[in-house]
Amino acid sequence: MTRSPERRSLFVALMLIAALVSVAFVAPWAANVRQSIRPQLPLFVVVLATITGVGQLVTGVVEGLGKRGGWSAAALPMALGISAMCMALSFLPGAPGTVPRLLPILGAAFFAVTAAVLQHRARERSEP
Amino acid sequence: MKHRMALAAIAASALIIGACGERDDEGGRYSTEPVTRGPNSVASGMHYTTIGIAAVRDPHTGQLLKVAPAPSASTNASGSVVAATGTGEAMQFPFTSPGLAKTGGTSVVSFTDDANHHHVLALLYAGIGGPPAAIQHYVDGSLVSTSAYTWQKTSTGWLRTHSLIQVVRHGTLYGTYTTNTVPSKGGGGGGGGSGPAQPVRFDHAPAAGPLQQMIGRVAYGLAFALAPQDASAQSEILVGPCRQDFLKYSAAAAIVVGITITIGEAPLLTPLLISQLISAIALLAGTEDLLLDCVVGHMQMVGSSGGSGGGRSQPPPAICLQGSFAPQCSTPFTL
Repeated sequence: MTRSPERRSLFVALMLIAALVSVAFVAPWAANVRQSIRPQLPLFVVVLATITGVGQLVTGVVEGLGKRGGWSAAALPMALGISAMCMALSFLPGAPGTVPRLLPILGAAFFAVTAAVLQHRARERSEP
Repeated sequence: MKHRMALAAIAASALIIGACGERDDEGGRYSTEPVTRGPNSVASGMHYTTIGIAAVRDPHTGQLLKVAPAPSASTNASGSVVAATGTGEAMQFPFTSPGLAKTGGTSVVSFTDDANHHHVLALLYAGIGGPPAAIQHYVDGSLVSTSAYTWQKTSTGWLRTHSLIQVVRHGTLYGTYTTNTVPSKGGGGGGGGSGPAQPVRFDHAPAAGPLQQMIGRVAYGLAFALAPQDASAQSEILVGPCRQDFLKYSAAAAIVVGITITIGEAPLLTPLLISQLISAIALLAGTEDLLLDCVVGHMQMVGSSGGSGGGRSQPPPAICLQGSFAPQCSTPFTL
């Protein structure tokens, strides 16, 4: 089991990388990169998010129906699974100009934050 | 809305080629309705002769064939295309017309028509200002036409002396239409009127809901009153144009943060968590891409003022995001 400070470093590193990459996208020289990956991004998100979402949902069902399970054990993976499925839904084809859809993204954000809260509370409960 | 339609009329003024007998029927919307007829038009007291040459793609050979002025079955061109070839109309924009720029720069106009198709017009203004020197027209993200114009400043407005319009469908050049306007030798016929040539008008009803029309009228009126010659008039004052994209980007960022926190708090790092983070980052990249396109597309970038025919204003690289006029951007049918 990894110690907490290392996880915090991991969290900080991931956030820094995400921020730097986001800012790098704004640079003029990144326009070509954006144009080249633009057609593949929706496909990538739909496929990966669907697989992840299904995996999390099945994990949630299995843990929830387990002997020591119950809703508390299922809540975290179900929240992550719903968040992932919402991400996939947002990029499914629709009327021109509406993709990605706002409501599924908001739903994904809600469930992602919910999952973070659940995980945080689970860790606090497990600490002595 | 009138502002958008006037600018759409510039691009669509000779898009009658789109009405020719090709596969799709989208070209039918790009018809032009010149107000005055006759081979010689009058602008600022002078007579001009405009020659139009249309070329349409032969579906069998893929070659562009010039359309003869007389109806011809061999080119399979529609009557409006045939009628536009030969002598045509001189087009002039009075100085009081909306959409004229004072200096060089770029502008992007977008709207959704009554068939729910999203139109984007990317306009490039030459350093001396005036009407757009080049326009790219996108429908639902696909390039459908590119236009280039040469304008001559007269005492009453901007006279179009040369134009080239290319019609594109699914990445294939389907037709071109060129016009060349020269002063007539000697006095022209009929009328003797010395008024400016009538501007091309788009006679179709505005394709927008009542609320959009009201917003458009208010915005247009305010923009015209506050900056009548400013080509950067915004058509959305009550509602920000990038609000939706901003919300999507913010929500995507929240997803990334939430999953990152979950990873940080989790006792074990599982492959599902990693793949969820990757897909969240990809979603963030996609929404950021849309937000940047929206913000850049609505920014009014003015090039350096080069004086009267002075320095050339360097087009900012951001215009490559909306299609290209500049040589450094790679896009088909660059003018």
